[in-house]
Amino acid sequence: METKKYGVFDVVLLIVLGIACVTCVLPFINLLAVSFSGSTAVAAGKVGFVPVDFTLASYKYILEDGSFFRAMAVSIERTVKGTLLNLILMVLTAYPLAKPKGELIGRRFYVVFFVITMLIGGGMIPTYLLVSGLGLKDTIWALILPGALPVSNMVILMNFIRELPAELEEAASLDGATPFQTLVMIILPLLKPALATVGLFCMVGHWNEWFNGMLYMSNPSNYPLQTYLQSLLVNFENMLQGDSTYDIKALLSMMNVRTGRAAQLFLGAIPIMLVYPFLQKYFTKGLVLGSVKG
Amino acid sequence: MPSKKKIDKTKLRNQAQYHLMLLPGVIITLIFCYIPLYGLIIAFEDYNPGLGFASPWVGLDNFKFLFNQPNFVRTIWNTLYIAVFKLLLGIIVPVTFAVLLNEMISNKVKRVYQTLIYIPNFMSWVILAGVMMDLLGSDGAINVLLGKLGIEAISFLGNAKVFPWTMIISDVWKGFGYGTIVYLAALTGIDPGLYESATLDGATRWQKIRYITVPLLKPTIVLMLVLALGGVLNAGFDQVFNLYSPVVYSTGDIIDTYVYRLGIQQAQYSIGAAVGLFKSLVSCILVCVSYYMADKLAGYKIF
Amino acid sequence: MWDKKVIALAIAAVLILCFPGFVGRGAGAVGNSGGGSAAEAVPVPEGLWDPYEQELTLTTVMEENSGTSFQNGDTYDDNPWYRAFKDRFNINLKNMWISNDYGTKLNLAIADRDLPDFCYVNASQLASLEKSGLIMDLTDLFDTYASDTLKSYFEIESDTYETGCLGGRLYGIPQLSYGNIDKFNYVWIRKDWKDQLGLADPQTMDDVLAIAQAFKENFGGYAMGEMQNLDNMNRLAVAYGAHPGIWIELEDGTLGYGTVQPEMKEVIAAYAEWYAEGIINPNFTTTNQDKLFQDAINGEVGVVPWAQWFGYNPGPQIIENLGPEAIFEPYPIPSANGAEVEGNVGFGNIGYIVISNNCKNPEGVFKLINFWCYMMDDAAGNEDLEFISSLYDNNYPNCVRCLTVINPMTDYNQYTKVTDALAKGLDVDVTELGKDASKYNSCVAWLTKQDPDGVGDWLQQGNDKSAYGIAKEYLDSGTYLKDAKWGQDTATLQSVGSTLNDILVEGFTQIIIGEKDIDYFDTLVEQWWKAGGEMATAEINETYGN
Repeated sequence: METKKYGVFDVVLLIVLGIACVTCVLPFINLLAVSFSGSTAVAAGKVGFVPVDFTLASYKYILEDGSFFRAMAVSIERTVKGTLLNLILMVLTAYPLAKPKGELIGRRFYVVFFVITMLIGGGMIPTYLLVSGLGLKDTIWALILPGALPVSNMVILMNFIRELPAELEEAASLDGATPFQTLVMIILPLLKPALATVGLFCMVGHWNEWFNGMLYMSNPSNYPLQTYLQSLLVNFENMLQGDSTYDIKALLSMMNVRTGRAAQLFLGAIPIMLVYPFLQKYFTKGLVLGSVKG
Repeated sequence: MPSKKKIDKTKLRNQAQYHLMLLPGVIITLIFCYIPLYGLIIAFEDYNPGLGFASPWVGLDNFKFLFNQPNFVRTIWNTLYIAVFKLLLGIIVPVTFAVLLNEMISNKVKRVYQTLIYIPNFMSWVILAGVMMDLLGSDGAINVLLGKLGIEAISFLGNAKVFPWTMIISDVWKGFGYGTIVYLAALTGIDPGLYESATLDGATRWQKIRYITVPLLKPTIVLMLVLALGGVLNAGFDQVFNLYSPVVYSTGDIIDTYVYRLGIQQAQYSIGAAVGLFKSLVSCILVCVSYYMADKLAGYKIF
Repeated sequence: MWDKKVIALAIAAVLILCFPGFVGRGAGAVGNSGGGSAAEAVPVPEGLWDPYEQELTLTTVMEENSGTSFQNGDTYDDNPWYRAFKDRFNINLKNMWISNDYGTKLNLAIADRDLPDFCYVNASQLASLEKSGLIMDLTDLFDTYASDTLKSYFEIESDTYETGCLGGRLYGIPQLSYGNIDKFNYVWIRKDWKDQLGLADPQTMDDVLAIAQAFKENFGGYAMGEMQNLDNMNRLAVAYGAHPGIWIELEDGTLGYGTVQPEMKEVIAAYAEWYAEGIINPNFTTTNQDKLFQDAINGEVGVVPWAQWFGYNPGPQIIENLGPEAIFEPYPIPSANGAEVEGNVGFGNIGYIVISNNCKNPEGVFKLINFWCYMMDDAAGNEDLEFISSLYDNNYPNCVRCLTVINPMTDYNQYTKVTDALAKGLDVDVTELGKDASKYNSCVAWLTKQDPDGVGDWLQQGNDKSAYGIAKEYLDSGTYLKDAKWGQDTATLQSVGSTLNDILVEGFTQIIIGEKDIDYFDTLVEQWWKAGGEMATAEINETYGN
C-alpha cells in the first residue's frame, strides 16, 4: 500500500474548497447570531455573524411555549412514516422497472405512466378535493400519501439497480429464488448507499414541506414544524403591512419574533442535520461494487 | 435438467411477482396523480370556486388573454435565460466539486467539506433572501470588499443587467451540495483497481481524472440533466419572488412570479391553470427531446 | 425462512398502502362530515337579547393571528368571547378550522362546498358564493335581527352597505373599518434633529425638502426615505394635487385612475430631480419596508412620508436605539404649488360576513354581531370594567374576527375621548373611557415615564398635532377626496389590476433613476391604457359613474 503525500495541488485544493465551504456556512451563522441577539439590535440590522446584546430570551421562550415541540413531534412522525413509505414504494417500483427489455411485459407502459406525472399535475384544487373526499384531512396521511411515490428519486434508484452486476441475480435465480426473494435478499443489501441518498432527499423533502400542512390540518396545533414556522413568518409579515383590521399594538409584541423565529429555524434544522452525517458514511463507502470484486 | 414447461412456469411466476410489486405504486399514482388531472379543465373555464368544475366554458380565451399580455412573452424569455444557465452551471459546478473532492487525500476533511456544502440546502429562500439582502446591499459586505479592491459598488439586486446572474449564481451556490453528493455517490462506485492500474501505467493525476473519473460520471450527468430539463420552466419561484423588485422585472420576472402576481394574488385560478398547462406541454416536449438526445448521443436510456 | 420475511414485508406494504385509515390515527378530532351544525333548528327566543333555551351550536372558521397572546390556557376554541357567548346566549361557537392562510383555505373550502354556518369573505368570494347559491339572502334577517347600534353604522356608511348587496339584496354584511381617520398620510420628521437645527414646521413642500437637506448635511445618511414600491412618492403626491391609487372624478365628469392623470407627471418629474440631487435614498429600488425602518432606527434618515402608525413601528425601536428625543413627529403633507392640499381616502371595508344556506339558526349569528357592537359602543358604564378588559386585552378581539362589524366612527370617537381626557390631566378616572382607557394609560406612560410602548399611541392620538389630530382637520373641513370606486374591483381590475400597477411602478422607477426621460410617462400611460386600463376605466365608469 502506498502512502499518500501532500503536494502543492492538494494544499491549493484544500484551501479553495475550504473557502467554498465557508460561504455555505455563513448564512447559518448569521441566523444563529440573530437568534442570540437583542430584538432592537436585530431590527436595526446590526447583527452580522456575532450576536449583539447577547440574550437567551428566544430559546427560553421556545422552551416555555409548547407549540414548537408539539410541531416538531408531528414533523418527526411525518418524516419517519413518509420516508419509510417512500422507500418501500420506490424499491418495489424501481426493481421491476430496472429489468432489461423483455423481462418485464409492459415495461414501456409503466415507464410512461410514471414519468408523465412528473410533468403534469392537476393543481391544488382537485388534489384538495380528492384528499378531502377520501377523508384524509386532519390525518398525517394527507401529508404522506399524495407524494408517496417520488418519481424522480425512483428513477435515480432504478438506474442504480441497473448498474448492479447481473451475475448476482442470475445466481440467485438459478438457486430458484423468486423475484421477491431476490429483491429482499440480494438487491436490498446492495442498495444501502442509494437508499441512503434518495432516503435523505425524501427526508429533507418531508421535513421542509409546509404548504400541505397548512392545507390539510384544521388546527394549528396539528401543524408540522415547517408549517408552524411559516405561520410565524406569514403572521409577522401580515402584521407589518399596516392593515387596520387589528390593533396596531400587536405589532409591538411581534417585534421580538424576528429573533425568536431565527432561534426556531435554527432548532428546526438541527434534527435533519444530525441525521445527515450519519447517512453520509454510506455515500462514501463504495459498497456497490465491493460486494462483487471483494 | 429443467423441462421447458418448468421454465415457462417460472417465467410466468416472475412476471406475476414483478407486476405485483408495481401494483402499490400504480394504485397510489393512479389515485393521487391521475384522478386530479381532470382539474386541468379549469384552464378552459372561467373558474368560480363556488360553481367548481361546472364553471362557464370559455375555450381558449385564457390562453389568448395570456399571449395578449405584453409582458408574458418577456417572462418566458427571462425564464429560459435564467433556467438554462442555472441548469448548465448547476451541473458543471457540482461535477467539478465532486471530482475535486474525490481527489482529496484526507477522508476526514472530505467528509467535513461534504457536510458543509450541503448546509444551504436545508435553508429556505425566505431566510437566505434576508441574508442576501444584507450581504449584497450597496453598503453590504460584498460591496465593501469590492470597494477595498477598488471596484465600484455593484447593485446586485437593483440593476436589471446584473440581477439574473445574481439569481443564477446564488441558486447554483445553494444547490451544488446536493449535486455534489449525487456525483460523489456515483464516484464511490468506481473500481479503485482502475486507478491503480492507471498509476502503474504512469498516468498523471489529470489524466486519471480526464480518462477515468469524468467518463464514469457521464451516465449520472446525463440522467441529472434530463431530470432537470423537465423542470426548466421552473426558474425558481421562491428565490426570485423573495429577491426581485419592479426595477428588475424587465429581466428578472419569470413565469411563476408573473402568474403569482396575476393569478394567485388576484385568485385568477383559470389563468394559473392555463399557464400550468402551457408549462407542462413545453416541458413534455423538452423531456422527449432530451430523452431522444441522451439515447442517440450518449447511448443512454434513462427510463 | 425467506418466505416468511417476504410475506411479512408484502403484507405490511399492502396494509399501509390500502388501508391508511386502519394504521393512521387521526391527528385531529375535527370531523370531516361537512359544515352545517345540528340538522334541526333550535327554537328562536323572543327578545333580541334573550338566550336560547336549548343550546345552539354555530360553526365558523378562524384566521390565525399570532398577535393574540392567550392567557391561562385560553385558545381560539375557548376564550373569553366564546365563554361570553355561551353565558349570555347559550350559543356554543365552534371553529371548523383555524389557518394562517385564510384566503387559500377558504377558497378550497368553498370549492369543496364545506362551508361553516357563517364566516367572513372578501368581495370576490362574496360574488362567487352568491352566484353558486351557497349563501343566504340576509336583507330581511338584517331588518328583523340587527340591533339599533348595528343599523346605525350603516346609516353613517350607507354607501358601504350597498357594496354587500347583489341585485339589490344583502348577501354579505360589510364589516366596515375603523374609519376614514386612519387613512391619511403624513410627513414624519425626526424631532431632535429638527430642534437642534432650530427649523420651523414645514409650510410648503420646499420647506420639507430644505429640512431633509439640512438633516443630510448635518447628520449624514440620506435625506428622505423611499421604497421600491414608490409608496412614499404616492403619499406625497397630494402636495401636487395628484391622487395616485384611487379613482377620481375628472373635469369632464367621468371617472379616471389617479395614477395616470397629468398631475402625476409633475410629481414624477419633481421626484426624478430629487433623486438626481441625492435627496431620495440612492438604493430605494432595493429598499423594502424592513430596510427603511432599519435606516430610521439607525439614524440614517430623518424624513419619512408614512401612514398614521409610524409611531408604533418602528417608533419604540428608534427610542431604544437613539433615545426618546429621536422620535419622528407627524406633519400634514404641505402644498407644493400653493393650492390647498386634499387628502384622500380609499375604500376600506375589511370583509363581508356571510351565512351559509345550511345554517338553521341565522338569527343566532346576528345575536353575536349585536353583542360585539354592544361591547364596542355601549358597554362602558353598563358593564363591569374587568369584564370589558377581559374581552379586549391581549388582542382577544382577534378571536371574533368572523363577527366583527366596526363602528366607522370608532377611532374618531376614541381620539376625541383620549385627547379630552389628556387635556384634563394625567390622573383622570378611566372608568368612563371604557375600552379606550388603555390608550389613555399608555399616553400617560409615555408622558410621565417615556415608556417606549406608549409612544405609538401618543403620536397617533395624544394631542391635536398627532396624526389623528391632523386627520380630523381634513375630515371636519371636508378637504379630502373619497375613492370614486367605493366597492370592489371590477372584472378587468381583478384580472389585470396588479399587472397594470406593475407597468406603472416599473416605468416610473426608470424615469426617477434617469434611465428614461419624463416624457416616457406618456408612453407608459398609453401602455397602461392598452394593457387593460381602457377597459377598466370603462367598467369603473359604468359601475361607479354618475
